[in-house]
Amino acid sequence: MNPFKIETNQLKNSVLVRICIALLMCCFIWGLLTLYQSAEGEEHRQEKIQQSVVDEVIKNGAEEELENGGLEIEKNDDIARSMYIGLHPSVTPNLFLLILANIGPIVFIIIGSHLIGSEYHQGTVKMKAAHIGWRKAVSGKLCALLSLVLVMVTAALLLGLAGGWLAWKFATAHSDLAASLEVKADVSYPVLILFLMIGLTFYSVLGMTVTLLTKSRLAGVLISLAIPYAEQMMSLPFLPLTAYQSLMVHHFIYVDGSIIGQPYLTEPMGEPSAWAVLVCWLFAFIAVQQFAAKKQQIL
Amino acid sequence: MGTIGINFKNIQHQYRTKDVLRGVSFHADPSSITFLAGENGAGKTTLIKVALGLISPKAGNTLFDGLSVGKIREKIGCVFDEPPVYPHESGFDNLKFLSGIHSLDPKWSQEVCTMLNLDKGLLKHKAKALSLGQRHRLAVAAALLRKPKYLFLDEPSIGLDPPSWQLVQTALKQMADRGCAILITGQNYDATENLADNIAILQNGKLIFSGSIVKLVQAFPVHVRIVTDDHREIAVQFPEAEHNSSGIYRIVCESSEEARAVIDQVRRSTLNFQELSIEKASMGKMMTDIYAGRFRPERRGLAYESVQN
Repeated sequence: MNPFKIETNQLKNSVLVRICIALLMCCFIWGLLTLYQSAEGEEHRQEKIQQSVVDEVIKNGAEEELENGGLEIEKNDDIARSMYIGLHPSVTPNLFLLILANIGPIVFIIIGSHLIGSEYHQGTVKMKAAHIGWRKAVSGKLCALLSLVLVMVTAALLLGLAGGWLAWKFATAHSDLAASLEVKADVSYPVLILFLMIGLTFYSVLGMTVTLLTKSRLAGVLISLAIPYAEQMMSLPFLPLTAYQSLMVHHFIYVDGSIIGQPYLTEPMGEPSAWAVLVCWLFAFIAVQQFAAKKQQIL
Repeated sequence: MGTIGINFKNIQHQYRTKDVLRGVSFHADPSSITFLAGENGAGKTTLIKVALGLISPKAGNTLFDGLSVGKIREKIGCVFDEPPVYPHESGFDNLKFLSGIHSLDPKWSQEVCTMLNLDKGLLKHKAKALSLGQRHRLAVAAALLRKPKYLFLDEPSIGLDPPSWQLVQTALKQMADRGCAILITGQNYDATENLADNIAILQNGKLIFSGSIVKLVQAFPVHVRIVTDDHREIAVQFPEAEHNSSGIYRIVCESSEEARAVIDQVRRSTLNFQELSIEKASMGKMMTDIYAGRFRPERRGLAYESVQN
């Protein structure tokens, strides 16, 4: 009897999980295409601005000075440059992981709630609890979700690399500006992976725990999704959302033209305390979940 | 007896302020099928849930060969009255998920599926396409795949057609022959009479009898049925005979021996009769009489076989 294998199998077969994964993939592709289009558009915009300045100079009779190099018109393509940098294979995994960090909490709350709530909805909870033990079954689900988080983070990383390789090849072939860039990314991917593992597991556990307590999938999803909004309204320190967003600000690179902007925090937490808060919340919810599963009366 | 098999010891449970189980104690032996009988709301399902550890009782405990449920969970199999399935999974995946066994023993699963007539075509279908009877057989198969030592079935005959119920009965008998202690509930008393070895009867959360079904049947009064038009003669010779409007008389006898003696007496008498027979009550009739308080097992010298240890 291996609850982890059973739950992983169930997770693999789940239509909802497949839809969520497809949704994330679409977001990755959309994010990359949007960034490319923004970079290209910005470059063209700058070229047009430069051209209009040149035309203006010529019109004012300074053509000779311009030809002799006496007058230099500087091209302001910093924004386009920064956008192209975002397409470099060393930076695109950052974009994909950033998309995952933003959409992932919603997706994993839904998956976590579904995993527990479907058992109540279908009445299979009695059979699971009798044959495996409800606490063991819930632990199996948690481990299965953890492995799904790992797979999703790894997939985002690898797809980011592949997407970046393609996008960069395309960009350098079509843009002199992109071809002239030397990119050195300052991203620590192991830290990003660790952050996403903890953060997304936390939101999965949140969805699972609320569903476990309410015994309803719908209530589990709605309450769990409402919690981050309530946190935003309260804007208190030591809340999981504040810690989560603070770590996002600390560790991700935000490029112009991306579909994901930097989260606005009135009082961002320091890095060590943000880690500590997020980890504490994660373990607190796991403890509540395990206790509830052990003590729950399956009627 | 005592520590082997499933031992219910003084189980008490309340739903809010209502006492659902009031000190239930009995045992279900290994290699036998025990029928847990009771009216709707008597506490049968609650007792099974307590035994399976799904709800915590107010007092008492259930031991399996002397061990608590948490220690022998992998040896338990169960089927509930409304067989739950994962509707979007195939029948085969349902067997895995419901049994909690990831790698099924191919030989045993083949044997169980054959026993319950679950063919490959049916197992390939999504469970949502299955009928209630098919779902029930699937749930029984999932429980049997665990090779249980203790098997609980809550109203397994619901939704089953007679051939399917026959298949389930055969499967249960085979499991009992393998040493499994089986506890089964239901309202189909007549179908259970030939299946179960023992019976435990619950009424309003209290156990009113537990013991051998054969003993209970033997202890139940039998009737001598006389069809006659000779109303005056029968009233003189057998004044205790009760009659109904269709002219059928019945004489209540304490045992089969007494009934045979009455038959001899009728034959020797001058009474003219059209029909003379011994009428045994059906299991359903017996249970109706027991629930209505018209028959008290303890008054017939039947020991209340409760677990004292």
